[in-house]
Amino acid sequence: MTVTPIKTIDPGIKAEPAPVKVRLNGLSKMFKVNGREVTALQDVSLTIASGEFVVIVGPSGCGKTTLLRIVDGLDEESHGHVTRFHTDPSKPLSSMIFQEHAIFPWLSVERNIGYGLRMRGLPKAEIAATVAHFLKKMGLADYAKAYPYQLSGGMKQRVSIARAFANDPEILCMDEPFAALDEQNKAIMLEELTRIWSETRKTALFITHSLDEALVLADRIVVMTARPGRIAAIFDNPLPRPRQSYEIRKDPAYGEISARIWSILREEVMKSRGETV
Amino acid sequence: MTSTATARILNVVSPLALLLLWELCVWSGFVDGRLFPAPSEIIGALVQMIITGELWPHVTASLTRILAGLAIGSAAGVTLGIIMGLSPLVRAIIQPVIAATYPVPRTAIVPLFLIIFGIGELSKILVIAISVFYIVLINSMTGVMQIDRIYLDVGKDMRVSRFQAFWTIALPGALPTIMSGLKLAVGIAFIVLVVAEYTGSQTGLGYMIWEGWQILDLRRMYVGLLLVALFGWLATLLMDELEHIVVPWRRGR
Repeated sequence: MTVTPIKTIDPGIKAEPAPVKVRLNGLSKMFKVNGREVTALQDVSLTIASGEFVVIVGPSGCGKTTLLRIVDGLDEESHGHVTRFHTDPSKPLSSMIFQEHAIFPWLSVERNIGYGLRMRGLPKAEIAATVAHFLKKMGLADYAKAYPYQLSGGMKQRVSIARAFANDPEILCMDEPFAALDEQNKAIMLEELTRIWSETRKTALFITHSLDEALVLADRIVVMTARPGRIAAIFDNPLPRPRQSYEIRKDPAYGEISARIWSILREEVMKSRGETV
Repeated sequence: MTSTATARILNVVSPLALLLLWELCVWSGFVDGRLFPAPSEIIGALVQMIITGELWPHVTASLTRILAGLAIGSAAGVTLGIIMGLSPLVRAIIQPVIAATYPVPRTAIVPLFLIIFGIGELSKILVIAISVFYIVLINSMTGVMQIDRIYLDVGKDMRVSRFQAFWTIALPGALPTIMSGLKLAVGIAFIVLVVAEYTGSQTGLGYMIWEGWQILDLRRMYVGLLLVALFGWLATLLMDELEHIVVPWRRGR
C-alpha cells in the first residue's frame, strides 16, 4: 500500500521554458490475461503543461484508465517513462477522482472530504477550515455529518470531487467522474467542476466518452486509438473560456471541432467494435 | 425508520407472548405441569434461589466463563482473520488448517480439552474461545477480502501507509461482516458453555440444568434453561445495540 515517490524531479530544477507538469515518454503497458499478454498502451508520448486541462477520449477498453492510473501512480508502466514535476513538496503530487462512488461508506461527508488531509497529519484546525470551505463550495454544508448511504448519486460524486480538491494536489486525475450521473446532473456538475477548477487552475487529466464534456473542460483533447491504445490525434480546443455546457453549442466552432474529433473517434470505435464482435 | 422501530418492539414482545402461551397451557391442563412447570412456578423457584443466595455462584461462574471465552476467541479471531484477509501468504499457510479442523463440532472437543487443560476453568474458557475463534476468524477474513478494491485504490491514491490502510480502510470496511460473525459467535458460545458445564463442573447454569435433571428437580432444571435463554437473548439485544453504535453507517438498512 505504500507508494514510493515516483519519478519526481527536484523542485530546484526549473530549466523548462514552458513549465511542464507531466511528461510521458514512449509509455507502454502490458497485462497478462489468462496467460496471454495483452498490450493496453503502446508507445504513448505526451507532454502536459502546468495548469493545463487535458481531456482524453477513446473507445471503451483503449487503455485510457490505465494511462490515468499510471500518471496517478496507482499502476506501473511496463516500458517508457513518466516524469512528474513535483514543484511544491508541501502538497501531494496527484489525486484521483474515481469513476464510481469511491467515497468511504463508513465515514461521514466531512470526514470523507478531510480524509487525505488527516492521513497527511495536518493540524486539526487547518483540516476543519479546508473541509468547511469545500462543504460550502460544493453545497454540502447541510450534509456534513451525513453518511454516504443518505446521499443521492450526484451528491456522492460531489463529495468525491471535494475530497480530491481538499487534498490540494498539483495534478488532478479524473476517470469518468460523471459517468454514473443523469444528463441534468451531469451538466450541473460539469459547471461546478469548471468553476472550482478555474479558481485553482490545477493541472488536470480527465477521461470521458462524451465530446460535450471534453469541449467544455479541455484546453487540449487527446483522441486514443482502439486497443492497443495509442494517441490518434491531439486537438486544441478553439472554444473561448468561460464555457457553459449548453451555451457552447451556439458557437459555430463547436460544430466544426466536434465533427473533426468525431471523424477520428468514430473510426477507432468501429475498429474496437470489429475486434470484439 | 418506523419499520426498524416496529422490528425492535417485536423483538421484545414475541418471547413474552410465547411464555404467556405456555402459562395458559399449563393452567388449562393442556400440558402436564409436573413435566412442564408453568413459567410462574419456574419464576417462583428462581426467586427462591435468589433469596437463598444459591443462584449467584452459578450465574457469575457462567458469565465469567462466557465473557472470558468471547474476549479471547474474538480478539484472536479478528486479528488473525484480518491479517489473513490482507495477506495471501498468511492465508495460504493457515487456511488449510482451518478448513480441515472446522467441520469438527466444537462440543465434541470438550473431552479433549479436559484432558489437555484439566478439569478447571481454563478448559471451559478455552473451549468457548476456540468455538468463537473459528466463526469470528472466517467472518473477519471474508470481510476484508470483500472490501471493494476501489477503497484500497483511494488509500493508495492518498499515499497512506500500511498501518493507516489497516485502521482506516481494512478494519472499517470489514466491520459489518465482523459484527455479523460476533453475533453468531455469541449464540454459539452459549451452546458450548452449557455443554462444557455438563461435564467436570460443580458450578454454572449448565451444571444446574444437568443436576436438576439427575436429581429430578425439574423446576431447578427449568430455572437453568430459563436463565440461559434469558442471558442469550439479552446478549443478542446487546450485540444488536453494539452493532448500531459500531457500524453507524449501516443504519436504515
